[in-house]
Amino acid sequence: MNRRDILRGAALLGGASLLTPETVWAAATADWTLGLADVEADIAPTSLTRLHGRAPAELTGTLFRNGPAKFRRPGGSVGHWFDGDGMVRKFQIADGQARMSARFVDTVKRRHDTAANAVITPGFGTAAGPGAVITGPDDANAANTSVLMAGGELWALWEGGSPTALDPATLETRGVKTLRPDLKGMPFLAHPRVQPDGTIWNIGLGGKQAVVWKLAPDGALLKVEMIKLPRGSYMHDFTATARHLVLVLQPWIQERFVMPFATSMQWKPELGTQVLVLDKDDLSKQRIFELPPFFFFHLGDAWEEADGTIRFDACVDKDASGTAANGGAILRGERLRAAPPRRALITLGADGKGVFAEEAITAEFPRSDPRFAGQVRRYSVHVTNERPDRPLFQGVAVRDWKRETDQVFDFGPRHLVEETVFVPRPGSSEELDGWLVGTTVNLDAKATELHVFDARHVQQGPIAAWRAPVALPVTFHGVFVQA
Amino acid sequence: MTSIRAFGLALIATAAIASTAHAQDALGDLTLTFPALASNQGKVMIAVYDSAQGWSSGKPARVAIASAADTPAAAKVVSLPPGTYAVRAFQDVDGDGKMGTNPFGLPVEPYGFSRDAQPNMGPPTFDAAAFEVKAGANTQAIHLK
Repeated sequence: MNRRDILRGAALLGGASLLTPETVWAAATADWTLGLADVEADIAPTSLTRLHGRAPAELTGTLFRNGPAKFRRPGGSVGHWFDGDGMVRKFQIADGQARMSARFVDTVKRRHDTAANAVITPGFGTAAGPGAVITGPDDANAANTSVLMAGGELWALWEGGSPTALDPATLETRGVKTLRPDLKGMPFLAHPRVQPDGTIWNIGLGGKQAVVWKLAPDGALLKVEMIKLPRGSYMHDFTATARHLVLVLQPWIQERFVMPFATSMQWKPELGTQVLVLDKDDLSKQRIFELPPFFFFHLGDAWEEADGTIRFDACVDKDASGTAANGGAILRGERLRAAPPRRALITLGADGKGVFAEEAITAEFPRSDPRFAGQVRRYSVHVTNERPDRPLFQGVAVRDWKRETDQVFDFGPRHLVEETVFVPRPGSSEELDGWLVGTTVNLDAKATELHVFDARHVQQGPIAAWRAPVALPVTFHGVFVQA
Repeated sequence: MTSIRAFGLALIATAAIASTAHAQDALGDLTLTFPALASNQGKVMIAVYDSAQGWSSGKPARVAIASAADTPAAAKVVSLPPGTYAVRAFQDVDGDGKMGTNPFGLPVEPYGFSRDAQPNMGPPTFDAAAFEVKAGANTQAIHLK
């Protein structure tokens, strides 16, 4: 051992005395933190390098994805993954080539935090820092969760405030979207449900009150209505059939309004989960179903069978503890032991009885063929194979609900797999006839990759893949806009 | 009837007392301006408070109105007893006489406070918006947002 080694050892030991052994271990070994790293600047349009395969000639369009990409600042960092600054990524596929660019959404939050050189804006898991000024929800809007195309504009969505309009060509921020002057600042969830005809349904929440939005395909406001909920439940997502809105009221109950927002909620399993079903044409026509307690973020598109039975898939946890705590821990390179979310099928019978059937497969970010949204469908797409020893996912799964089979492709432990979206084959109207397009972070190459699957043959692996010149942190949600 | 008359008498009495009490003092005039309004529609509705109690219970000492069509919109509140005051104002763009709010109760018409005090998860405190009115001319510019 030479002098330099001794010095280095002493320095490490000095640090270790201030940190827990777990933290030191995590800092030394957690390569997956690449998926939660900070991005310092926008990414100018650049080509991706083809890795293998050939993109189908008919697959032409743009995958827009959104996710947080700046978490840490010198004067203080976010307390939760959900509170990073939104960065919209754009992956264009044409003539077998792929290009990309990425740009931060220019939010009030990002401006305030940049000026303070510290994350001072409060959020889901972040307390307000010194000098934070919140005049309304859009001052805390991170615009970091999903995207929606509406009338030639790309909207970056959050859940507690307004959509933020971007130019889909340049990703430049145009500003906060107010759908009607008297509705300024009303919340618009990051999970609008888009009917096959393009009609957009969404909700926004304020305790036991909810706003129900109905928009035309071009984003014009068609209807807005306030409804009372039986409880003030945390809701990141809802679902819909062709005729009904389906709101799942989990027993994570908002009891007050404080920051960090997650501390406003209490887990009350004794209340069970309620499902509120509303008639799209008459929101006063309501039914309530009772289910056992479970925690969720995401639901699949719902469908309704001939006898009125409603079914949908959900990605569920036993309770709210794991996700809430891990969202902070993973940014520090730590991993708390928590069972990964699993897939469940929820059935709301015409007899008024609800059935909750949880499955063994791990599942998050459920998607399906958008041409069948709200209609009887056979397939779900989701990420899977979360490992017990690290966060995030390493596989893509397609569920066949008719045959009750799953096709899985496992990228292995060296990839962090992000949500995968379905793109229909032009000219075809058969469900799941087309491609799955999604991104991963390759931990060996230290780069973001773009993968295309034949949606009917997912287990055979990607039919084409490209590598970006940079690694961007993992995203939440995206849309594919066909050319 | 009796109670209404009594109330009316009480008001007159208060006014009389107030005017006599301050008759000897030099009074202040407060000119409020509202520069750079986003639109010139409607009126700026102004409430002037003379105590934290009035501020929190919504009982202004004086009210005034400025036309948003003027550049800048301005109003003069005359003959104020010298002391500490704070002002709330909003632009009644749609002319319904009320500060417009969205269904969750958040303001949707431009509003502001003296000293341009910032709201933060609610209105600022009286102290944050408070300023001194002295005998003679006083001015405050408020930027409505």
